[in-house]
This record gives sequence, structure tokens and C-alpha cells, in this order.
Amino acid sequence: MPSTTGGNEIVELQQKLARVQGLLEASRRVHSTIRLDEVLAMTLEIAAKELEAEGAFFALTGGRLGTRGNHVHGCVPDDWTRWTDCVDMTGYVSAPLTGERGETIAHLVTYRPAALSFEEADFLEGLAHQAALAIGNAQHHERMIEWERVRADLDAARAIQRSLLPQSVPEVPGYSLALRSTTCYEVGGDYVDVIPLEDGRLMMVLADVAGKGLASAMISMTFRSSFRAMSGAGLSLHEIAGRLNTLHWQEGIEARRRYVTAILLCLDRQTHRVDMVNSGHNPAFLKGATGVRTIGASGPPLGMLPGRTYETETFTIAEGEQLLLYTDGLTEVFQGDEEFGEERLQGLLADKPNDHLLDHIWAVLARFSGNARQTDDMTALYLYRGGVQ
Amino acid sequence: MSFTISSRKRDGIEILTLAGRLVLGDGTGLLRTAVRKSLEEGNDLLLDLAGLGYMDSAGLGELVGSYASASSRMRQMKLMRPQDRIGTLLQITKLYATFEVFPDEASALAAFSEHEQL
Repeated sequence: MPSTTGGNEIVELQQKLARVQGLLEASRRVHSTIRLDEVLAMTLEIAAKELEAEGAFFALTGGRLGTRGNHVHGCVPDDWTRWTDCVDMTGYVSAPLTGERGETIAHLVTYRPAALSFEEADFLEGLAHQAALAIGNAQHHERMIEWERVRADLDAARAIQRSLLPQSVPEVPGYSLALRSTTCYEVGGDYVDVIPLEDGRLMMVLADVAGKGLASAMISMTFRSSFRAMSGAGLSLHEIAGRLNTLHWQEGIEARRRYVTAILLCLDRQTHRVDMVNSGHNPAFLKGATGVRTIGASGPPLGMLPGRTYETETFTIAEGEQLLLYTDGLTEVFQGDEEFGEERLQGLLADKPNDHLLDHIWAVLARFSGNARQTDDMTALYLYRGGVQ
Repeated sequence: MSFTISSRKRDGIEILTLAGRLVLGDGTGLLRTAVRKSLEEGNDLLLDLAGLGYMDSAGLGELVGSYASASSRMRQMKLMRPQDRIGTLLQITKLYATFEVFPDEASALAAFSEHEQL
């Protein structure tokens, strides 16, 4: 009879509406938290309760989900751990949870001896879909928190590294000295230092650890400690270089790949004598009245090969002469395929000393690269005789 | 430009032809794997650098690491035909003296057999 049919339709519609409302409510609840373990627990609780199941659990398809090993709710038979989507086990019904890239991350499985109706199975699928979205959001949130922690660590590392740079360039009567260092990432593998010795001489170092970023920064810190410990011990520069080479090489294979090119320098401002050791580093430029003299390496980079020896080169720095040490981050700035190179850098040394030379170099390099993002750490030390008396 | 390695053998010497940019990451990993495999097979190594346009500090470290691996296994590793840029890098870092570097394949192969005769 028409009235009864109409009544059935209304009942069916009301049931459908109730299920939709149930799913909406379930959805609201699983999305009400951003904590992964809570999302998982809530999903199981809803599945068991709404479907009147004895128990529910997640079967993972690989990897981990949340902080707990197993996620199970209610009572499930002992054989629940053997469940997979490939075997047919009585009483178990499942729906897959699909990840952002379409991969199945887990199955939401319920256990109930009585079979699920079509509508109930539909509810389970809808719940699994909502749970997958909420899990994705929670995992994203966890990654954000983890990233914030890494970020804070890097900021702390950067602060430490900045604090270990010479806080102020020492005044050297009769000389002018400038340092500049910019890293390409938060921390870098370049190292520049000036250490006044008790006898009035000045020890300086400019070094470049292979690679960049945190790993190189860690190596540069160990290098700094070793160098500082040796700088006041009365050793010659080539002895220091030899020992640094051995110490670094002994650190093992990973450290050897992060070898150090360096120039060690000692200035006696009374006699104007400069001792210098170049270990595998770009040549230093000494600009005098007759042109530029380059001071190349006497041995390979430090820590690369065992038992290497180095030689100290000694010269006198005359009035008005300029000395420029730099890392390859300055010469290897590119404009398309064209490299800035040593010659151009050398060309920036004018006949007369320039108190703003390093600012000038940095500006020229920025222009050359079209203000491109820095791709390597850049460090320079500039010293000339003259200036402040 | 990426990094590639191709290989051929001649008289127990594996000639690895390096091309592209040898930089930290895929390039250095590829070289390490190729060298390790060749040394495990008991080969001596000749690296042809004619197609190698650029090498960063990590690339140079890998090259020296390969040389050290070969030496520790009592195998020889030599280089040939570096481009100017790579040659300059080897000069700057004073590694030209560590590696044996040859201008062509014939002289490089001859040097391997001289070593055998010693």
C-alpha cells in the first residue's frame, strides 16, 4: 500500500540520516585532536562502539604508526595478530587507510562474530577515510614540531659558531687588519682566527673544511681547538701543520673526506716578518709595488693523507704591502657558467690599500652573481702594513 | 650537468671514464661504488677525467679516498687527461705529486706495465 511504502522510505531515510550524522560526529571527533596516538585510539573506540564490535585494531602495512607498538581496542581473539588483508578470517572486517600519495598505510579492522550490514561496512570505510586524513594531519604536525626542534638546534649551533669568531679584530699597531666570513647555511665550515701570542706576535689562520653545513662546522670546531692549543706552544708553523694533518687523519675515514685546506700565518710586527704555511689552500696574494706575488701550497690539505710534511715560507711585509687570504667560496662565484676566478679577485687589490676592501669584494661578488643565493661559505682576511699607527 | 661513469677493461686495468660534475651526493656516491666494486674484483684503476668539467671539495675528497682505498689493497690508481680546471685544482692542493697524472691513455697504460716489471 502506498502509505506503508512511503512509511518505509521515511524510515530508511531516517536511518540513512542517522548514519550520516553518526559519521559526521565520528569525523568531528577524530579531527578534534592533532596528537597521533589520540587519533588512533579514538578511531578504534568509535569503530567498536558504533559497529557494536567486540574489538578493533590497526593492521600496519609497514613501518610504525604512533608511539605504541600495537593499536588495539576492546576484545579481539588471540589470532588477531595473524590478520592480513590477504586471508579470509571469520568475524573480521576491514577498511584501508589511504595516505597522501595513494598508498595504503594501514587497515582499520573490526572483530564481530555477526556479519556487518552493507551500511555498517560503508560506515567503516567512511571512518577509515576520515582517520587517514586525521593521521596525515597529525603526522604533519609531528614533523613540524621535529623540524622546529632541529631549527632551534641549528640556531644554537649558529650562535655558538658566531661567538667563536674573533669578537673584535685586534688592533695591530702599524697595520690594518680586517676579517669577514659569511656562511651559506646556518653554520659553515670556514674558520678564521687571530690569536695574539705572549711574545707580541700575532698568529692567524684561515681554513676551509671540505663541504658545508653542520658536518663541516663540527670539523671546523675540532680544528679550531687543535690549532688554538698548539698556537702558543712554541712550535713552528710547519710543525703545527704536520701535527694538525696527523690528528685529523687519525680521526678516521669520515673526517678524511672533510679535510681542511688552510693558511697558517704568524706576524711579527716589530720586524715585519711573516711566516706562512699553505696546506692545500688557494694561493695567498701579497700585493707590493712590483705587482702581486702568490704564495701557494707546500703540501696537500690537512687530514687527507697520512704523514705529509709542510714548509714555512718567510717574507717581510713592506710599508703599503697588502696580504689577502680567502676561501674558494670567493673565487667560485658563478655568472652562468663563468667563474669569478682568482685573476678577477687579484684584480680587486688596488695599488693603494683600501680599508673597505672586503666590503668592496663582497659587493662585487654579489653583483657578479646577480645577487644569487650564496652557494658556499665565504671568508677572507685582509692585512696591510700602514694605517693605524 | 649530471655525473656519469662508464667502464671498460684492458689487461686487468679498469678504465673508468668520468663525465660531468663530480660533487657531493650522487656523484661522489657513484664514484665510491664503482671504485669499490672494481677493487674488489682485483683491478688496477685508470680514471679518465677528459669529460670531467667540475669537481667540488667533496669530489676531490672522494678522488683521494679512492686512491687511498686502492693503495690499501696494493692496487694502483692513476689519472689521465684532466681538463685545465681539474689540473689547476690538483696543482693548488699539491695533489699532482700524489696522483700519477698522464696526458694520454698510451702513456698511462705503459706506466702500469712498468710498475708490474719492477
